[in-house]
Amino acid sequence: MLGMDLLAQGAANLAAHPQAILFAVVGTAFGIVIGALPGLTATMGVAIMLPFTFGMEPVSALLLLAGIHFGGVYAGSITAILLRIPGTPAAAATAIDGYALTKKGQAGLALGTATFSSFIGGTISILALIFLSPVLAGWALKFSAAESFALACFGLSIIASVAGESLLKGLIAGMVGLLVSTIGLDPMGGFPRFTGGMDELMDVKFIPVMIGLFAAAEAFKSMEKSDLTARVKATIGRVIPPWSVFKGLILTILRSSGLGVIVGIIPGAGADIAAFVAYNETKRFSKTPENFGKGELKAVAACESGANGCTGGDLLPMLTLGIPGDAVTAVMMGALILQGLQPGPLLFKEHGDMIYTVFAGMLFCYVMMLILGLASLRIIGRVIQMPQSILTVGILVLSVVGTYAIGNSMFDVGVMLLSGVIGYFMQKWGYPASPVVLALIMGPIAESNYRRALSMSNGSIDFLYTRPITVVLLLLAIVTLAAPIVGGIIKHRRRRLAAA
Amino acid sequence: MAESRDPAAQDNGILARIGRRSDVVVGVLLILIALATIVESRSFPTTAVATDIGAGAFPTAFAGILIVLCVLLIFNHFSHGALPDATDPIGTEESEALAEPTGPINYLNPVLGVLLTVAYVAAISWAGYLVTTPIFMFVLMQVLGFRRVVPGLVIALGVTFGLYLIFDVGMSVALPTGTLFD
Repeated sequence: MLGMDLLAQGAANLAAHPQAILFAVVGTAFGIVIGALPGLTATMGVAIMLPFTFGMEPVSALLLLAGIHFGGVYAGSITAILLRIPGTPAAAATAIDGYALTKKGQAGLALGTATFSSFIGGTISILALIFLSPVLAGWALKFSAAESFALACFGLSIIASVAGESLLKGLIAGMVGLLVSTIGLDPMGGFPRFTGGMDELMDVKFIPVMIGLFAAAEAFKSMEKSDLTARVKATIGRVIPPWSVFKGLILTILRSSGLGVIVGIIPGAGADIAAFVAYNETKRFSKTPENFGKGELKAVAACESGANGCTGGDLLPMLTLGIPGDAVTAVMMGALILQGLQPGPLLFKEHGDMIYTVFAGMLFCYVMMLILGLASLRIIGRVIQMPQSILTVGILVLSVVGTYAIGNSMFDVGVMLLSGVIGYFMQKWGYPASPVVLALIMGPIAESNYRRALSMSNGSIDFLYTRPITVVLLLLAIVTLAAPIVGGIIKHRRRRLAAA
Repeated sequence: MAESRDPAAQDNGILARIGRRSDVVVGVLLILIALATIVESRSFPTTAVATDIGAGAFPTAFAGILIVLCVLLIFNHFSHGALPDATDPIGTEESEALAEPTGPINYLNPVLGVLLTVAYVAAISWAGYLVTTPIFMFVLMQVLGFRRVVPGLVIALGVTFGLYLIFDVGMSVALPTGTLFD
């Protein structure tokens, strides 16, 4: 019950931080708007708001970004239900049955169910984070350089899971990220590497790169489309589902939330996968699977509770081990580092009070998401009719000004812009951006810890196979890396056999 | 001949041609960068720690793996043809039917967008944030199809001053004033 005591203490601390509460509300509201706008993802929302956290105290900064993340994942369902356009990738599964319900004149019921399911899924997810994180952090406290190196290798192996369409292109993107991560001072000897004599390159910051890859590149990509503006024609009607309907969804919501938490904890698996896993499992458990795809309310509840159930699970490896499981947690990790805090087990040891205040704030974010979500469903239709040209220009200005604000450096703005242009071509040619960011974060950790471990073992590499935790983590890394490769080969062979 | 006078169509052609050969272009470019990395790494001095592998070991290893992956990419291109673009974010059959509403793809706008943003970033240091930002916003909105002049100006000025208030006044982050006004 130590977790409950710490949470109660965190809630009391939060109550004494009205500014943090305000930022949690602002973040959640902003996240709902971002999530509802087709083409804008929660990752982009967190990336463009990251510079605003500069100079804030850590609790306010983290709650602003957590609110955007949670609100963004939820609000993707709004356009998915009303327009069959998933506001975020995680809402793609929701669109299948959600839009079918809209066509039946039950848009309000679908939206209300999505809102309540997101709230319950998210709350369960944060509770899981609260109770599991001290266990994982306590275990990770025993890590020395060898284990930290193995952990970084495991973190890097996630590149295979976030590679997207082409594993090879994902690995290339990751390897380029690793190469870029070596620019700057050598972690052991302090020798400047690949700087070309430029002082600015002594310490390459990854936040401008992230803003470029996730925000500016998206803005350039959105310029390709004509200025189409979606029109909402649906009548929303009653949004709060009647109890007689909702009680039939409770088991589905609880099961899907649990699945979401598990999927979220697995690095590399995000809300989109959680939503589809929850959808499939609910269909499998259903007595009427034939209704799925034709406007089944349980499908909407499953997808939304699964996707939001993922949000707390996602944060678990990032906060406790320093491994960002996906792009959005990588950006949030950047926010922590910007605050001078290093994610990992020591975060819980040295800043326990602050972390539990943030956890209490995250629960508050979900309460706000429920209130703001239900209150805004009728007006959000107007927001999603905003012309793309205004949004795109706004994102670019925010990216430029925000990047400048982090370090008062036009060089950083140049790095952001270059990353944005490279990110645009990466998108066009099928190279995912997430592996680059993962590599930029994990690469220096892997290198410095490997070299430290090597020096502690007098130049012998026996630490790679004599320390049990190191061995387990390295095996996990190999399995994580090999599974998609083996899966790809099997798929390719099946296709060739089918074609023959 | 009419096609060659249409800049958008001309641009589509160039980008599309590069796009079809992107695997080869990217592969060769990255192999060259990786080779340069290996050569440069060889000149790094050894550290004071006798058991250390040196500053060049990790960059060399990363560059070596990158070369192998790029060779595979080029080999794949010639043996199977260009891989399809990753346009499906979910990778499921259902998601194919859930794409955003799309009109004709315009390749000229991203090119103009990048050029205008580069010009904006270059001009900020010279003319300052308050002068360049509303001009950049207004011009780019026009380029992207938002042709209403008065609302465009109001939005450009509103966002500029709004961000100025947040950063300069609220967060005490001085935005560039520009050398022109020093």
